[in-house]
Amino acid sequence: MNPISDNELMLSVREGAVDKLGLLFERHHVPLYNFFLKLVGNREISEDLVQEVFLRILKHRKTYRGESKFTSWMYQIARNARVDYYRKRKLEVSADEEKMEPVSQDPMPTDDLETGQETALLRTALNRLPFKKREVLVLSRFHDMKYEEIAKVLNCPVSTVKVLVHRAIKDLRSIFYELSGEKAI
Amino acid sequence: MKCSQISELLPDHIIGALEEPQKLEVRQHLESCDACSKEAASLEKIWTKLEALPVEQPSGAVRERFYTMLSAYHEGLSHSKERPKLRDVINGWIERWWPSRPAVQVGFAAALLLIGVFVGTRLQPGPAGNSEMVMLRQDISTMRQLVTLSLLRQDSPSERLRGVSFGAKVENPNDEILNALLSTLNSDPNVNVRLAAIDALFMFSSHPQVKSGLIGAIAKQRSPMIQIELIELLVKSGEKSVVDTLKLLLENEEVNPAVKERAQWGIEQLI
Ligand SMILES: [Zn+2]
Repeated sequence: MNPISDNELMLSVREGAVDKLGLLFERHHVPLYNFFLKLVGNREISEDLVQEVFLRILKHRKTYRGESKFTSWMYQIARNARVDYYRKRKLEVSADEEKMEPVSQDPMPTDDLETGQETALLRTALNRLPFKKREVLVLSRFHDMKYEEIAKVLNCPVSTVKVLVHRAIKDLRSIFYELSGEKAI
Repeated sequence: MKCSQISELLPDHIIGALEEPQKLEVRQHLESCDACSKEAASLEKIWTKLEALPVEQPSGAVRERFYTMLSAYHEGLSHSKERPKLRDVINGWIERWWPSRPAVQVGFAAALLLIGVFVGTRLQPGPAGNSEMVMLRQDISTMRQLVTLSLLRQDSPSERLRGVSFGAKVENPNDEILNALLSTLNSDPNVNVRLAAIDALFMFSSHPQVKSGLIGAIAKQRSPMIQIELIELLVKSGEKSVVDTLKLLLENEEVNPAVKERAQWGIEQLI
């Protein structure tokens, strides 16, 4: 028996079976968290954003069409949530609060010494990529999305995505080897 | 195909986005062309390296917050069928609170859940049209207290700070709120949150437990800044019962000299 698909679950949620969202949460909250973590670099904000995405899914469940993959829809919501988060924060957060709790790069736990350094370098390199390139690279590499799917999430032509991914890989390579002092080939 | 055309296809080649017949063409070219195959290997290396980035796990709070939100939402939905007016009020709160401050959601969701139960049990058999607004106001005040309590338990200092300022706005705080504020004053790790708690507590200093809590806090605090703040506020409000505490401070060797100086000043003011 096949497990019930994301699409079917979300259609039930749309029709009022909101408890079904629990299963979608279980399936997707960790990848979603990692998506935010790679883009905003802060654990707390990433967790807030995960919560925000599922709240929006609940609130806007009636707008789910079920025509494209559930994850495309979810990552569209995720992108908007991130943009709104920073827009609102800029307007709302008082200067004091900002000083008290700067949005910073969390130190990530290093695995072991050997891979730790390379992982740290990769993270730094990834963070230095311009945002748009980083975003498509993350979706392509860590979320196994094809160009067409990324184009749906970003609401832009497939050709744009393709160019961005190509440049992102090449730029990441240059940045990484510049940081590491290793040779590219 | 020429090398320049192949080069265009290499990123797609390494990420597996090529279809036949291009796929085959690229593979054949790479077998015979040293320059292109080096370039392909180099791109593939960085692509593979990315695998090393581990999948991070969020804290357990994420799951807890999600299910709290879900059940609150569920609760809200079933009540909204019975009480359209309340639904509007609650939706208004959701609009104002939920989207802007994600971290508040736990507290708010918990409050919403409770208020749902409240309203459900209290209004259902109630006399028709009887002072619904009065009860609603009481409910909102209760909700504010609940939000305060759960904000004070958040991990983020800025949320706890918000909890403190929320608490200061509660009209008739119950003991639980006052105790929560006092325990924030005594044990919150963040000095800004503790300072804010002092301000909030001074608004309620007519409560005997708050007054003695503020006085007791002077000796408990480890931060000279907080100690001085407490001394100044208590002295300025003419609180003579603080003198004994101040005298003890002067005798204690561990107390910061600046605090002792202020304590000495306080004693002179009050006697
Ligand atoms: Zn070639």
